[in-house]
Amino acid sequence: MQQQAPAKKKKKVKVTKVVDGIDTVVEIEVDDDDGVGPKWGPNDKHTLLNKRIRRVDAPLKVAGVAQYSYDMRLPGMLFGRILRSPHAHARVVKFDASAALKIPGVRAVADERPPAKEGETLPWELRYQGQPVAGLAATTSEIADDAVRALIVEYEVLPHVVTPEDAMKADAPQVLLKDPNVEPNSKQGDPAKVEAAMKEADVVVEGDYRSPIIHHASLETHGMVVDYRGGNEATIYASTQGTFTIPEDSAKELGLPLGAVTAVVEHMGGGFGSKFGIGVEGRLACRLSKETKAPVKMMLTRQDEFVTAGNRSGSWQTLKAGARKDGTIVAFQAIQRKLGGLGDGSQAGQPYIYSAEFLPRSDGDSYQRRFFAGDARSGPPAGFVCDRVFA
Amino acid sequence: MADETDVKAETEAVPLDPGRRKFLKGVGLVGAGAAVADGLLLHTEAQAQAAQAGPSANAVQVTLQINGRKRSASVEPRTTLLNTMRNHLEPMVSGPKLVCDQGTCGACTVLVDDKPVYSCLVLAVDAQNKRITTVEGLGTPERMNAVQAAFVEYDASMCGFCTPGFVTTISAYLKKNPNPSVDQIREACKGNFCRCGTYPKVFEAALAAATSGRRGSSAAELMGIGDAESEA
Repeated sequence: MQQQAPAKKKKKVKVTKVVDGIDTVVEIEVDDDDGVGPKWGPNDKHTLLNKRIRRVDAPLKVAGVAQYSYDMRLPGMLFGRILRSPHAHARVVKFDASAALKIPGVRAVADERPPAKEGETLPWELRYQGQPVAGLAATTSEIADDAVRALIVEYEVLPHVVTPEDAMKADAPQVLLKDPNVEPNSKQGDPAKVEAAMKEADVVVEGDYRSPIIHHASLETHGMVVDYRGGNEATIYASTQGTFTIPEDSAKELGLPLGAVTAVVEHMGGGFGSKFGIGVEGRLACRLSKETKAPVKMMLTRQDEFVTAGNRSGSWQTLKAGARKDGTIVAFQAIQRKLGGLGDGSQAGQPYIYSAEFLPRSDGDSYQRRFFAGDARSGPPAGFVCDRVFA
Repeated sequence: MADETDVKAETEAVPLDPGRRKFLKGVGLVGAGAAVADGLLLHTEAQAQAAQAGPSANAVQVTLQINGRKRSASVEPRTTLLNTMRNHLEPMVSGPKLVCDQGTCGACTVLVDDKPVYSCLVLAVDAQNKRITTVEGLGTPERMNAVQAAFVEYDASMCGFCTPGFVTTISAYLKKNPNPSVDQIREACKGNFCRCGTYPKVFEAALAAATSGRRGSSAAELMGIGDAESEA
């Protein structure tokens, strides 16, 4: 009845589309809603929203027939295990696998000795407790467990630090190979402005907080089955969130062209942000599979998982916040020290969800302690301490 | 469920002492003469040489009755029921999962003579002449039992790695107590971990499975959560 609706504005966006069976980024034209957002119409007219939809993989999972990477079993498959450093800092002075290799069923041992450079042997140093020393493959997991115990290793134990206080001492043993334990301060914001804003506050609250590491604790541990039998191609069944992250590194370890390695992940028993890339266990599995020309299953044990599968770094945060009587936060200061260990870790993302008239942030000393920390987001530690201050 | 026998009290069934398992698993090794210091290392040459004798020569034939079928494998006496099912039977039985391998998480739960048991804490040689039921024996994707169907309907699994254990535990419990409260369900599931945090849906599904067939009370009402959305 009214005049014709004006022609809708269009815009181009990039989307991922399957072209010839391959995920490809293509540009398509869509309605430009000027940031208003889509108009979805009445709630009872939706085809997907407000509808009960069954998870497509649920029947397989409840009946126990969903095949996870951990469930892969291939003909002639060997079971991998890893020997880990019991010391936070040590040098390997002797490594002898001959006794382990004599155990019936043990097929190969691959150690983590650094490769010699220009004919010169490099020191074999271990920098955190749990660092892989060697991996091996055997016909059963029980025999592999025995073989790990039969590896003869002599360590020269070196000094280490495990607390932030010790790591910050001038004479503290260095954690990282090159960088010092305490990184230079990186300050953001203007301290003078914060000081001025604090003076306007009716209430000033201060607090010193520490948060521990947070572990992903996926029920299915990290690991994979590397199926390489000496031919021109390999298949990797990995427990990973990044199927696409598997072929490249595996191909490198196996000495195959990238296109010759296929990664398969039918189901995964949890990842929570921790499962990308092949990891040390994947490298060892590739080497062992290449050596034995047999499929090798290298799934971390639960103990392995806790010491080397990554975690969200711990934090030590000293906060100071100023607020008016009406609740408005006017100033906020945070001295943050991340406890990332060898994996570096990440800072807590202050000031979390809060905003104030001034939001300067003073990043304090950053130092390392002897823990392996991998990927980590900073939300929970930030939220925890921030909410404690404002509570 | 596969079996009709009454479920006995779980308390008398589950060997929960991890120390016992540690001892049993170590038998092969200690028998071979190797010493273990702190679990991993510091082996002398002599100890390692003593270990060479190798325990694989000690393999024994075990016959297990799993999901109504007789299954045989040659395993070392120290091999757990879980590892035997997953690594030695051909074809394998991989519904029960290896997660903690120390009797804590419940992902490996199977029914031994209808009682829920951690199969990582039982040796295969000790599980002979008993009726073993795994999650695969409770139903199939095409013909799910009431608990499995409720898990699908109530979206009670995410990554699904703990799901076989929960389904098995709850299936056994509902047979023992077909009319449970949510607190009783929670108590029955205390030996099962879910890392994704699906517990509310798991309990909802368990109650729905229990009440399927009964009219006038929904899972949501029984749980006292008054959530209309949970009505299928």
